[in-house]
Amino acid sequence: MTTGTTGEPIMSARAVRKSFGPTQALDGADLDLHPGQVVAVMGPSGSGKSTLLHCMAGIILPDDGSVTYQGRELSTMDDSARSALRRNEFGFVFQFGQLVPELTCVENVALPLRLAGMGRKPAEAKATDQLARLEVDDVAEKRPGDVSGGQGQRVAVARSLVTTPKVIFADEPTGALDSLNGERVMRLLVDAAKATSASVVLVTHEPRVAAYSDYEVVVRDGKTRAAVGAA
Amino acid sequence: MSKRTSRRTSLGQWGRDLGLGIRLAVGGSRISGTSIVRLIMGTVGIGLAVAILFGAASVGNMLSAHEQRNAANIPSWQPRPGVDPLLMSTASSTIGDERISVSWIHPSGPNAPLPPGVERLPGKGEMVVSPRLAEMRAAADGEALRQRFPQREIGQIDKYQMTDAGDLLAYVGVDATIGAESSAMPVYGFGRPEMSGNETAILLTLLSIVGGIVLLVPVLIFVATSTRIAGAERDRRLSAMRLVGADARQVRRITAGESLVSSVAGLALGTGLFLVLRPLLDNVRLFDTTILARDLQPSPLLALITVVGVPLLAIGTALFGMRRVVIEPLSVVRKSKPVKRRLAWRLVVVGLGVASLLSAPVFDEGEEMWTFAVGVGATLLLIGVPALLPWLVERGAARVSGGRPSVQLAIRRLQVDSGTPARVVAGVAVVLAGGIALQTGLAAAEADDKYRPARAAQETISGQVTGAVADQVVADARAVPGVTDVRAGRYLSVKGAGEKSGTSVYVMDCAGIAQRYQTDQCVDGDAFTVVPPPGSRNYGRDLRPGEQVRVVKYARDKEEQIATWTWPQPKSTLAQPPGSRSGYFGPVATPGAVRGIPLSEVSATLEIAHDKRPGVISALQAATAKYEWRASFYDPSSYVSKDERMYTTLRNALLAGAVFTLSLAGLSLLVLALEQVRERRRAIAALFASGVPRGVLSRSLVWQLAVPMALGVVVAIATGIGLAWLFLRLVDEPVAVDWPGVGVLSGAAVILVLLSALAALPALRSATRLDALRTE
Amino acid sequence: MCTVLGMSIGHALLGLLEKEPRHGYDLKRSYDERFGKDRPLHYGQVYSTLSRLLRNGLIEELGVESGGGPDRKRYTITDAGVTDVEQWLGTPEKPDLYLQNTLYTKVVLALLSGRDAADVLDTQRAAHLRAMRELTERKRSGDLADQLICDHALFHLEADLRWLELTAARLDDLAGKVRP
Repeated sequence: MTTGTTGEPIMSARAVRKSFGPTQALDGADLDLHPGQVVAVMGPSGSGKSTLLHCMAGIILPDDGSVTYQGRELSTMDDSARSALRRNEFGFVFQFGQLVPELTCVENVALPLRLAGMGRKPAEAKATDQLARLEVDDVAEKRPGDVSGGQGQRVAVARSLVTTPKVIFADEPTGALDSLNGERVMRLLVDAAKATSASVVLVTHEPRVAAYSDYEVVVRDGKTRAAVGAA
Repeated sequence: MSKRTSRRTSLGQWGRDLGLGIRLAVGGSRISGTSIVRLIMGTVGIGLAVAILFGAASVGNMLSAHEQRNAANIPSWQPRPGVDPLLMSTASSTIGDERISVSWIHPSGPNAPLPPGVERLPGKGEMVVSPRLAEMRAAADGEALRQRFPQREIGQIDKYQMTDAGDLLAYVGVDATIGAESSAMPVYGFGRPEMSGNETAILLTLLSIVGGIVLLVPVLIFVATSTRIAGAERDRRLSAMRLVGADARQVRRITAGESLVSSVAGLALGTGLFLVLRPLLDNVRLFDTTILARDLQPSPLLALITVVGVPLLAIGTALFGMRRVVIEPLSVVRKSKPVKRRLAWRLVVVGLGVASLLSAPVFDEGEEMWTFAVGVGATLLLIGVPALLPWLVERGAARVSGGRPSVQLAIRRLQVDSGTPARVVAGVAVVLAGGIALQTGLAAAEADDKYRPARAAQETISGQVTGAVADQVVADARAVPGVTDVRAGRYLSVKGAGEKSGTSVYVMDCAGIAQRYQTDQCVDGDAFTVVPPPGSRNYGRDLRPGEQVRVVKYARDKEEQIATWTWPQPKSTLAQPPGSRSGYFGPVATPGAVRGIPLSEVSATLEIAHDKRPGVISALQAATAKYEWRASFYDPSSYVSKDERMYTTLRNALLAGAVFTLSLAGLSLLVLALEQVRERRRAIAALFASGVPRGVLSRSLVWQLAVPMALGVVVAIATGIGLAWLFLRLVDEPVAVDWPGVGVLSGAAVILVLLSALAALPALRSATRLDALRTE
Repeated sequence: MCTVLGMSIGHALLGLLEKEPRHGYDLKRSYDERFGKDRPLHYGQVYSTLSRLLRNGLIEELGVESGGGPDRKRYTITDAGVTDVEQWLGTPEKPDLYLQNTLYTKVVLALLSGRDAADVLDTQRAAHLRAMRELTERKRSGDLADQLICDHALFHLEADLRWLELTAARLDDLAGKVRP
């Protein structure tokens, strides 16, 4: 069903349904995430893209259907186990506002490591490295409010990558940026993910952003429409 | 905007902008829940401030009314033509541990003056009493009082004409024989021009200033905090105003208009509160002073200052809060790097306070300047504490950089904006510091041996009896159940030839002398000289053996010689036994040595020992009621109880104040916590999505409140004990810190932090839900 | 461009014939109504296309009505013709500039013939994205000139894709219009 991928998916969603009150956000969504690949989840606003991402990441549980990560069914795990999974195996990049405003950029990036029990010095050293890889080590000591949007997003990407996650969930990571900054963030994100063989679930409605993916899944009216008719 | 624009801004423009702000604040259906909460909290805070200020503005009037009534009650002995003097002898004694003043009166003619508040003079066997005394006499447990005052009650004193409506007062009619009593004065009228500069008045004024500050500071902080609610929403609104063309100055004026709404509403609420609470305060006794609702009239000037000043202050606070905010048409910029707080002026305030307290001993205790120095010092210290706290919190937070993630999150938050939490905590610190200072002062006073052992030793009742009935009273007193011993003594006033002031000779029987000076040499007819203990000064003089003296008595300011007498050769010199604090030193004589002097003309003092059963003094008073003015008893220890009663009142006031301010501070902390959660909904949701446990987020919230609070408590304890030390140094008392009290107050602060964090947790929990992440 | 257009006229006529047999005159009218608003077909174009289709065995004449003449003939689609339409609809257009005409024709014909028009769009999107991926890849390894050139192409492709999205969102409305 997808192009250019081989082997077992690292993560799969099957017939996922989720409703919020009367709104049916997902109505039978399927997605296979292959190791080291970037999948773009596309679709118009309100189609359920973000909900699919939240279900895949175990942030919310689907009403029906299954989400498996490395063969484990997420709905069978309790909240703390899923939190630990998100903390240790996943990374997250959101559109904006995800950085803690009062921590400096390097502290923000070091935060996941600190939560995992790493000491302050080594955590911040590692965070600084990660910032350098994303070409934002010059703002390490600044607070998020004092850096530009593009720099902030790269810091956010650095934070999502610092724990060397297996899967990165990026929800409209360039949504608040102009084209140039958006492209830069995408390039760095994809390069960094490829470098560590991390898979990326990239939710976006922008084709140019989706073009950084290896394959795409379209969500419309809560249903995924896999690409058909390979050329 | 340019200076030109600002100069051209007309009054009318000001008015229009203010009006726009007002419309925005109350404007229509768009108003959100949080805006309403903000409006309500601002209104309540200002309302409380106004009510407190009106109360404080009334203190002066209350005191001067008190003073006027006091002056109106002072008897005048100046003969007035056509007035028959009222013979009056007033004695103070006790009921339980309260003071009662009994005036025995006899009109010398039909034109005798009426005491203030008395409608008709009581005749023999009749009396007029104050309302509270009437109440106590009528009460079920008032049997002893009814026996002590068997006279017929023919009326009550008008409480509005008494110095203090709660005083225990009785005018008892007696026959003309009182005219012979030396203490009976001919009264031609009541009232004399007001005295000024009453010390208690100054002290009370100072107390109300300090108390007012202690109460007002948290209220103002609360008002300032309430403006932070829905701050982001307001900022967006103002930003929109900028977009449609309002300039930066106009935006400020619109903000001012918005805060004007809550201040005017608060003004109305505060006035209402004051008017509603005032009747409730009627007859409330505080510091042995009864509050009369009708005396609680704010002075017109102070009331005007309140009415005009409070809205101005609210507007000023709102504008001050925006000084670091730049409202742009499309965004709101908060200057993220605030100016570093300066230490100098904060230290100057604290230093001046300490200096003022240290300088107080230069003046005599109780002198006006002394009171002033103490009051100013305490006030400056209490203001200095909250001024110092933001600086301390900022520096404290800057020092800390490590710690667990939850701590780090909290500390970093404080480094970005330490001012607001520090100000809230400063309010708590003021109360705590004041509380700890008073607790420590009280603890020291209680621990002082001046009070307790003295009370233990003096298990005696004192009495004052006219000479004529002394022997009968002694006999009657001995018959009272519980009385173990009665000793009578008399002070003879003697004067040498040509001497103006003279000295005293104490007359007491041998049993008394033996017991008092621990000697077994006394035989009736002996005389002794008692030397003062080291360090004490003899105010009288010793008599020379064989010196001829005149024995005199005083009646109505006139000296009357009752005998001449020769001071014999004293048998020996006696010493005051060590450890006894009060006593008499000088010439002492047994009754045998003063034969020939008519002792029945000299009043006697009684010392009555008893077996400490309750009600002995009441029984004594009842048993000797028939002697009317001729015998009165009081319990010396009751004066200590009175101090204690004041301490209790102080403690209660302290507790009430502490509870009030702590709950205000708690509300402020809660508002702060909620606002902080609201402001970073996205970050919190993102953190939670990335797997950060809720526990870490909750703990960081607790730390964020706890760190400034901990600093506040430490500063408060230091200030409180320091203040107490400075106070106690003034009165030569040792410092004894009331650690349990300190612990209780500090514990309350800790509980406060936990409670506000707990109350903010649901908001945090809802922030971790994903709505905040939705961008669609 | 011309060939594309020419090819798409043939497929368009085939698609129109799939629903029911028609006269050449009817075909022109229906084509003009739906696709030729700005550029109506000439009769010559219609008949030369029809004769090419006849020659390739994709249509056949259903019979000649009285009076004779080319405009009196009715045409119907053959099985081969249906297969051809099928293939055409299922094949994404080469992502290129100004292909809306063709895409639009395809969508309308898919709707007319009761096929899933969304499939047409999805197929096209996949092709477009593939092209964009290639361009993105080239851009990432190329110099500034490459980047600018690629970006130009990318923005055009993105515009197509946005149109695809919009059309996809409006398929129901469109279906109501073309299938009264």
